[in-house]
Amino acid sequence: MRLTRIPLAVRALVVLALLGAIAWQGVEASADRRDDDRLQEAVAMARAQVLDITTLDSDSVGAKLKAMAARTSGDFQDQVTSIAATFIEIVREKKVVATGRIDGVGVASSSDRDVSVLVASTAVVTESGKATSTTRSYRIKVSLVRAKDSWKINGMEFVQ
Amino acid sequence: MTSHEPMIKSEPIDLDEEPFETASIEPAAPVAAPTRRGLLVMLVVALLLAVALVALVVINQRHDAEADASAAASEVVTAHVTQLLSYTPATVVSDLDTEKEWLTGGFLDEYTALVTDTVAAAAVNDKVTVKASIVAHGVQAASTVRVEMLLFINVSTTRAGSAKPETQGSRVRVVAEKVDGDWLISTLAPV
Repeated sequence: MRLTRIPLAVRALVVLALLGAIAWQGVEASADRRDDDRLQEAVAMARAQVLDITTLDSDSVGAKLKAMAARTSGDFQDQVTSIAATFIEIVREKKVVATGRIDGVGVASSSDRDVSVLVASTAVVTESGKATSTTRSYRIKVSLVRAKDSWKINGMEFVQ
Repeated sequence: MTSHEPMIKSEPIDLDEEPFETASIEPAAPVAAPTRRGLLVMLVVALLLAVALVALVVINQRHDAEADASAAASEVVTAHVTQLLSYTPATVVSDLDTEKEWLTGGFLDEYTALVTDTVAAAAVNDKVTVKASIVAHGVQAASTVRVEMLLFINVSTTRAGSAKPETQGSRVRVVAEKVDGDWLISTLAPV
C-alpha cells in the first residue's frame, strides 16, 4: 500500500499518538531526574550535618550549632537547640578541637517524603590537658523528611 | 399574491457562462506536488518523534533497571557478607567452597588466602566462633552492573575459655558486580 493512500487523518493520528507517548515518557523521565536530584540533596545535607558536628573548635562551635539547627525540624530541632548551650560551654571549657571526615555514605531507604542516610565518619579530637589526640569512628544514621521545597533532618542517631 | 404565480421564479440561464470557478479543479499536477512534499515532512516528523520516544523509553528503563539492581544486589550482599564474616571452627574450611562462588576478581583470591592462611588455623586452634550481623546497610552508588554499598556490621567473637563474646562494630564498604547474571562481591573492606 502506498503511503499516499493512507488517509491524512490516520497520519495525523500517528503523529499525535507519538506526541502523547513522548509527553508521558518525558514526564516520567523528568520525575525520575527530580527524585535523583532530591536524593543527592538529602545525602549532601546528611554529610554536611555530620561534618559540622565532627569538625569544630571553641571559635566555630556557635556557628556550627546554628547551622546544624537550621537543617533540622520538629522535635529534633528542639533537642538540638536545648543542648546547644551546654555543648558550646563544654567545647569552650575543654578547648576541644575536632577535625572530622566522611569515610562513606549510603542511602538506607528513600521515598518522596523520607530518606534515611548512613554516614561513616571519623573525628580526630584534642582537648586541653591531654597530650595526645583521640581518633573516634562513628556510625551515624541521619533521617530526613521533605518539608515544602527542601529536606529537614528530623533525627540523628549512632547505630549500635 | 395570486395563486397562479410560481413560487420560485427561475432566472433564465446563460449557458455560455461558466457556472464554477475552474481554477480549483482543473490543474491536477500542481496539487500532487505539495501532497507528496507534505507527506515527506510528516514522515520525517514522525520518524524524529519515534526516535525521541525510543530514547526516552531507554532512559526510563535504565533508571528502573538501576533501582532494581540496587535492590537485588543489596539482598545478595547482605546475605552473603553475613555468612562470609561468620564462622565456627567446624565450618570455617568447609564453607569456603560455597563462599568462593559468591566472590569475584581480586577479592576472591584475597579472601581465599585470608581464610586458608590465617583465619582457619586461628579458628581451629583457639576455637574461635565469629558471628556477624548487619545492623544497617545503604547504597552508595548503583548502576545496572555495579552496586557500591556501606554496611554497619556488629561482629561478636567467642573464644574457648571466655564465656562472654566480644562485640565490635565496624563499617564496611562492599562492591558487588553483576557477572553472568549473578551479583558477586568484588570488594569488601573496612572504611
